[in-house]
Amino acid sequence: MANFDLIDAYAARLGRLLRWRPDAADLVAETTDHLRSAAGQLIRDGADPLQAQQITLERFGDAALVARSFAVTAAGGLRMPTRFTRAAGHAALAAAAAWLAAGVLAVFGHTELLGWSAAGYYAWSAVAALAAAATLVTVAGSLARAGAGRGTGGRGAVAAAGLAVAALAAFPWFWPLGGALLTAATAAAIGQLRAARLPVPWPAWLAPAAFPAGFACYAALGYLRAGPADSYGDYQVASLAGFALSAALLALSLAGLGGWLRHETPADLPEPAAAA
Amino acid sequence: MKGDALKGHLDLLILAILASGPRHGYGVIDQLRARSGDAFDLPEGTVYPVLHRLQAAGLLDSSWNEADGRRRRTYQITRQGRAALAERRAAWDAFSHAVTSVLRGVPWPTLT
Repeated sequence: MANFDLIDAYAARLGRLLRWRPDAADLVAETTDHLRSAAGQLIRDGADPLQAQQITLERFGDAALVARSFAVTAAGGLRMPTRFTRAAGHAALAAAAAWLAAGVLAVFGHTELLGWSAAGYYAWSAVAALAAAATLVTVAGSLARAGAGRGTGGRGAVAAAGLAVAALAAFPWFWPLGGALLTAATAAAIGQLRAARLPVPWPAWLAPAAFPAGFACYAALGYLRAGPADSYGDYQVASLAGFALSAALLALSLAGLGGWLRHETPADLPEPAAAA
Repeated sequence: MKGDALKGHLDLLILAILASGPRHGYGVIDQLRARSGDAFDLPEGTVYPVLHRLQAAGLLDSSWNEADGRRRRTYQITRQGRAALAERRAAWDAFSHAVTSVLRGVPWPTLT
């Protein structure tokens, strides 16, 4: 009777290397079928069972190489979860919380509705910049997860997010500028994730629409002259509602994206030991 | 011929093999070896990501069945896959014809 221990060991190792993929069991079953078919053919051709397994495994390729080839993109990137993409998931959740806080702080830092103060303004500015910085990390992690972090588009998206951080730190009152830059960055990240056919939860798709929706709200309420005008002639309710809507939509989107990214098993963790 | 030389051509070769009928992964690789006269030497395991990518692109479809007491995945080419094969085959024919013309010193397209 043929001894398939080498094939079983190989399949088990491949399963450990591919543990980050939801379809790992199918890939291992497919590989096992291939290896046993190939070894069976060699045995029928006269090879002894052990030799047949050795030849079969040599032809199939090292398990680490095969596992890695499932993650390589056409552009040469690696489309797989890593410790960095998991960290980006945590950053996304932090960004979601920070955007909600920025939406609330805008009442004190961006309007005179409840009394404007310099401290409120600086707090709003700092939290908005912090939220944008955490969003930048999320964008970088999402691009890396899609295997598109090192391309021109990926680098451009990260640069746009970096400029958004600076814009929101320096000119929070001109939030549509930072918002436009974040829109470009998140659109690139979500676009790459979707192009890679990754199971991105639906709230994440809203990210590129957050600031356009907020700006539309700002423009509409401004046109309607909603609320009192501030000392610069700006309709405070319009600008506040626009920013708060953007922040809320972005927070919802980032929470969905972060929940997914942080729950994936990183493929770059050390390979777990084989079960005894 | 090493696997690197096949980069960019493996999609076309796999589609061509599956155009003649559904096969499981081992069958595809077996045909690849047989039709090339054992000329293509690539780690067989690296063919599977290509099969999966072609399926994700809608050029292949697959189904699971039971064979020899094991789960077996069988691939078949889709209508979209046949269209892509025709397009890529025409592009390859034009390319290889032009290269051959240059190598033989005969002006293209007079080569027969």
